[in-house]
Order: sequence, then C-alpha cells, then structure tokens
Amino acid sequence: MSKQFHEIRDPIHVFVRMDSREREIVDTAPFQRLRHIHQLALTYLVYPGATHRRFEHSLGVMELAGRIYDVITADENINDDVKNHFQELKHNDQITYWRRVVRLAALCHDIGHLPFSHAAEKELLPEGWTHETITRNLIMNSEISSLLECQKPPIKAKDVAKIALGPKEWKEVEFSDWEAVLSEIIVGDAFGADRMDYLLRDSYHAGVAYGRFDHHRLIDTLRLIKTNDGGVRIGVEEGGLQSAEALLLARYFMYTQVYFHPVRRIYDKHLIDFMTKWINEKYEKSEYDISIHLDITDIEVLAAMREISKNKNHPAHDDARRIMQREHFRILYSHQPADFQLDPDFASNACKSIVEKIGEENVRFDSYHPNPGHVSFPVLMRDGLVEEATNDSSVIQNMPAFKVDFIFVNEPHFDAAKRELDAYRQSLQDSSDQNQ
Amino acid sequence: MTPNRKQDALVMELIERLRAHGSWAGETHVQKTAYFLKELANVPLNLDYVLYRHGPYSFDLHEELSFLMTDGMIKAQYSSDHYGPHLILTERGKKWKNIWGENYIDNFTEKLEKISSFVGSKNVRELEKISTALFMTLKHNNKNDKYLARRINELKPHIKVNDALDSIVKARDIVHQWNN
Repeated sequence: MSKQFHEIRDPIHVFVRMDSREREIVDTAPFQRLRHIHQLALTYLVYPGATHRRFEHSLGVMELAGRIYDVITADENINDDVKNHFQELKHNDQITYWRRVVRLAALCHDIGHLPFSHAAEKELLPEGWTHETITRNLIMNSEISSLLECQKPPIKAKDVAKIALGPKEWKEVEFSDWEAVLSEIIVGDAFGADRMDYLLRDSYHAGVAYGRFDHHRLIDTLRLIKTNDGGVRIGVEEGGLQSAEALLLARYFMYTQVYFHPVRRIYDKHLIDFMTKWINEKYEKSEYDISIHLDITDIEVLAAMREISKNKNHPAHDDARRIMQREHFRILYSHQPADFQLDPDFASNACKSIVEKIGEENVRFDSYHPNPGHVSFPVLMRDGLVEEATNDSSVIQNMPAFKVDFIFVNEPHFDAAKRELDAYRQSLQDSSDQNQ
Repeated sequence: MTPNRKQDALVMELIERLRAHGSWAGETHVQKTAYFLKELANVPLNLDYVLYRHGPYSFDLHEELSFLMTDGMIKAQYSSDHYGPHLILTERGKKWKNIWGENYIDNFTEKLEKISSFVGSKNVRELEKISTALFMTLKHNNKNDKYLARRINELKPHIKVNDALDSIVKARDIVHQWNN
C-alpha cells in the first residue's frame, strides 16, 4: 500500500507534512529548481551560515499557512457575524477545498524567483514582468496546472495563483473579501506565513537571535474578526497581542541587522551589475520566457562568475572580481539624522554631486525607508470589543522606523568622494544658516 | 520606491484638506480621496488601485504614507474610538509640503477642495459602497447596473444587492455631475 502522507524534516518546524497530491507538486521541475535558488542571495558572504534555499522556505510557508488556516476556520473560533460574512465557512466541502488551495498557494508562492532571489529582477526581466508574473505563469501554464486539474476533486489553478499572489501583485483580477483574506494568510503584512517563516529561518541560518518570536502562540490566537467598520479581517485575540508585537520587532531587527547590512547590500549591487552583463550575452531582455527561467539557477550564475573573474577581457570581469575576491565598493555614507534634518533627500542629492565628481561607474546608491509600525490589525479584546492594534499597543505605536541610505564608492576614489560629500553638506549648512 | 516629492506634497495637502472638512483623516479616507481625485478629477497621481480593503485601495499609496511617516512628515494620532489612527502633518511636513508643492499644488486647489468636502463628510461604510460602485462602473463600463450590483455583492457580501444598486446610481450621478 503506497504512502498517502509524507514528512520532511525541517530545522525550523521539526516536520513539514504533506499528502501525496502536494508531494506531486513538490516533485515538479519548477519546484525542484528552488533547491538551487538561495533565499538570501549573497548574504552568506557576510553570514556564512545563510546558505538556505527557497525550497525549504516554501515547504515551511506551506506548513505554517496550513496551521493558520486550521486555526482561523475552526468552528470554535468563528462567530455568527463572521460566518454570515463568509458563506464559505458554512460548507465543509468549501472549507476543505480552500484549505488545499491555501497550502498549494503557499507551496508555490516563490516558484517564479530569479537566480539569487530579488537581486536582479528589474534588470533581467522584460518590461512589466516580475517574479510574481512568472509565478502566475508557472502555476497556470506548466505541469503544475495539469496536476492540479487531475486532483480529485480538481483544484482550479487560477485559485491557487490568486491566493499565492494576492491583490497587490495581481491587479488585473478581482478578489472577493474571502480570497483577499486567504491571500493574507500567506503574504499579509502583519501575520503572513511567508514573513513568519523567513524571519525564523533566516535568523536560524544567519546565526542571529533577532528573528525569533513565539509563532506557536501567535498562530494559536489568530482569528477572523468582524471590525467596527463592517469588514472581516485577520487579527488576534487580546492574549496574542504580545506575540504579534514580537513579530514586528523581529522584523525590525532582521531588517536592520541582516537584510540591510551594508556589505550585503553592496554585494547585491555588484551582483546586479554582473548578471545584467552576463545574461545580456545570452539573450535579449524581451526574449526572456519560462523555458529560460527554468534553465537558470544560482549554480549557472556562480559558475559563470568564477570563470569570468579570471577573464580580464570579459565585460563583466570587474563585477565578478568584486564578488569573488571580496573587492566590493566601500561604504562612504549611511543615513545621518542631522543631515536628514537639513534635507530629506540628503543622501540622493549628495550622491548626485559625488557622481558628477568621480563618475557613475564608481558610485552605487541604495535607499529604502520601510515603516514596520505602519501595520494595522484588529484585536479581539477579552470583553468582546474590537480594537485596532495601533490604539491598544504602545509597542506598535512607537515601533521604530528606519531609513537605509547608503553611498558606496570604488576604493581608489574614496578620498575624492569624501571631500565632495563634506562640501555638499557644508553648502547645505551655509544655506540653512543664511535662511535663519 | 523613489520619492515623488510633488506627489508627496499633494498627498499631504489632501490630508490637511480632509481634516479641515471635519474628517478624521485615517488611511481609509486618504485612500478614497486620492482615488476620487485620480478617477473623477483626473489629478495626476501615480497610483494603481485595486479592490481591497473598504473598496478601491492603492498599495503604492500605503507605501507612500509609510515613507512619509518614516521621513517625519506625517504622524499617526491614536484615539480611543476603536478605529485606526488619524493622520496629521508635523511642522516638518508642513514646511516641506510648501517647498515641494510650490507652483504645483495650486493647480489642483479647487479639485482638492471639492473632493475633500465630499469625502470628509462620509463614514467608512458609506465610502466603501460609493467608491466600490464607482470602481466597478468605471472598470466594467459596458455592463448594466444589475450585473454590477450582483458582482459587488459576490465580491463584498456585506454590501447587499439593493445597497449596491443604490450606490451605483449615486456613482453614475457623481460622474455625471463632475463631467458637467
């Protein structure tokens, strides 16, 4: 008798469990390709343990998404208001169907990723394409869609694609409130399974403690909550609020310490430069299609990078050498509040000035300004009232925002760039003094 | 996301106008005001809208508001009214709004005033119905009202078909008034 249920060991979740139908999707070429896509691009050059792949991350997201779905749809956790809002919750066959869809969507949510994940998307893909576009195409038009249709009962590939992408990344289709909520289980800003898994996993493999939080407690307290303005959203019971705060803090610390580590960011920039030149040799941007996508993984990129780093005649030689031999650009500037007070766009304006002085080829600029505190979700209080988390939690109200503004410069030009930066700052200061 | 400072100035002006018209200027109101400005008044806002929370929603605008908060231009004011925070401009925000919006915001003063006055007087439920109806009529301009009303009810079950029909009529009326 063949096995119907399977377990895979996982360092984060102990076991990831799946049935044979999910196992068939795992065995497809698009999914197996994720074994060769690093989750954190070249971060392992800074945190040597961060060599984990999108493969195990996707399995982890499926595991968490299934747990979240089971908790929020459990009969004892839903009241009549919520059932009347979502008719699907009144039918067991619907609950079962959408559970399968959510798990499959979680499994497939990253299959469109390019080599080294986010690093080089804009430069490599045709206009209007993103890794989400590719994900959608792979779910709906590859061996995956055939397998979904053959399942008993069949699964609509479009349902899986919608839940995997969400309304933010698939703007052309209309999402019902139910579909939007299901998508939030995976890609939601506050409690998405994607974020939960990558914070825990990235933290573990990087060897840092920042990404840890009590995800068991958090998931146990997630609920579908009818809010004061008439909608139904995923929120937490009051007892889970601290776990939610811990997740947001984990996100903040992982962003500042790992994801936006300056050396990691400059390696990303050099990687983009390398991949743009290397891939343009192989095909035109407009020719990129699914078969090219399935052919290229991190393996091909790294092999080419090693070879080209020894070939001085290749256009991508400098970019390859900067990564292989750790000769990355040096950090000249990172965000300073005093400069920011003078000019909110200090870093980008200073960068323009430096580029004029030493040339665009010797400067790289990196800027990102997320606000982890600008996340809202409902909280079901013990007295039955519904509160917005932002009203109830001083932690969320005071969640620090952070700005990433890095200017990196090619080593031989460092002193000239520093002088230009200081001159630009002085000119702003002088102008400010005159105006007072 | 590269900042578009002219648009930032417009968004900040929009927040101030909403508050001037008595709105609590939470994100939902800002979202819907920007939607009406873009679709009805043809104000050049580089924002994509989808049907999501309480009707038409722009993830771009959510990010823009997030960045403005990080930049210290706007801040959230929390309340005990069980709803989300109000958005208000800081002194820094007022200063930079005037710098970035110089010779730009004035082009849209009348439209901003008209839309803010319309939106500011409505609560979230009313806004959701009317903005959703407008979104659907603009997106499916070759469909009849009954189809649109049923479709709205399918997507948002808490908006009953009759309410959706009323909202569609109101939305068409608003478009007609605006164009004339």
